[in-house]
Amino acid sequence: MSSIRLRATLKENKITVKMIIDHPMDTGRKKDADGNLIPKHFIKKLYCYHNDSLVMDADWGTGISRKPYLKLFINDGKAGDTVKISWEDNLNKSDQAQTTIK
Amino acid sequence: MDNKLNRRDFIKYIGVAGAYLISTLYGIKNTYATWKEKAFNTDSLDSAINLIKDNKNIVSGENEIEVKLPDIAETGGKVPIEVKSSIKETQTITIFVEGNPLPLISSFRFNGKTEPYISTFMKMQQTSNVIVMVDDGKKVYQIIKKVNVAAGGC
Repeated sequence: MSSIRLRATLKENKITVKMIIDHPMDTGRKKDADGNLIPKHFIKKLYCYHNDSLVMDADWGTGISRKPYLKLFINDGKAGDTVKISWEDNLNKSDQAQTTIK
Repeated sequence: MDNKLNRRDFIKYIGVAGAYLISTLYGIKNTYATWKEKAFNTDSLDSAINLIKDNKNIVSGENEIEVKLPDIAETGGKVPIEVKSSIKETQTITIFVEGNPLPLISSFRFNGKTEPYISTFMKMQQTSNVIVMVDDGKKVYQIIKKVNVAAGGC
């Protein structure tokens, strides 16, 4: 199952994209129950594609809240279009999700 | 005759290689801009801003940028922020939190295919100024808002 919960809805010709990503966004400053530092683990890059063309990308640091949420609007959308989100973190893990506009 | 042809071919190859190089660099710059290691890892707000603004002048964005932030955040772990730019050529929206151990929060890059808008949640360790910068390729528009944090979360 994808770590990304992605929803894209069309209103007139604008696509509203909302996502919640299951990611800890650990800063490297917090300690676990045994008092050991939890290492940095955070998303560095996020990409948004509309019909496979890149329309927005972001650089994130550890300051984005855990379970990151992001909302944005894509111009010139229509039914049948695809929206894809992908991310990469500092441990070189990555994931993606895609949805089709109804 | 041979020499002439060779020279023509040579010039052609240079042209093709040059075009390829330019398109590659352009592509990298626009689609896979590198994550700014230094800017994200500095504990100095001034350094982070200087690394992001890249020698451009900073002007007030009071009339061009709309930033929605709570006056008081109950918990610093999840502070909502919404940024809407009315600057037509918006290339990036960048968020800084002055009072965080690492002030640079994030930078969003636009190419005209999406609204220059984002809504997300960020961490704030303490009551501090939040700085939002919009870069249109020529100058940097800036807006500063203070958020009171009841319980820090970083």
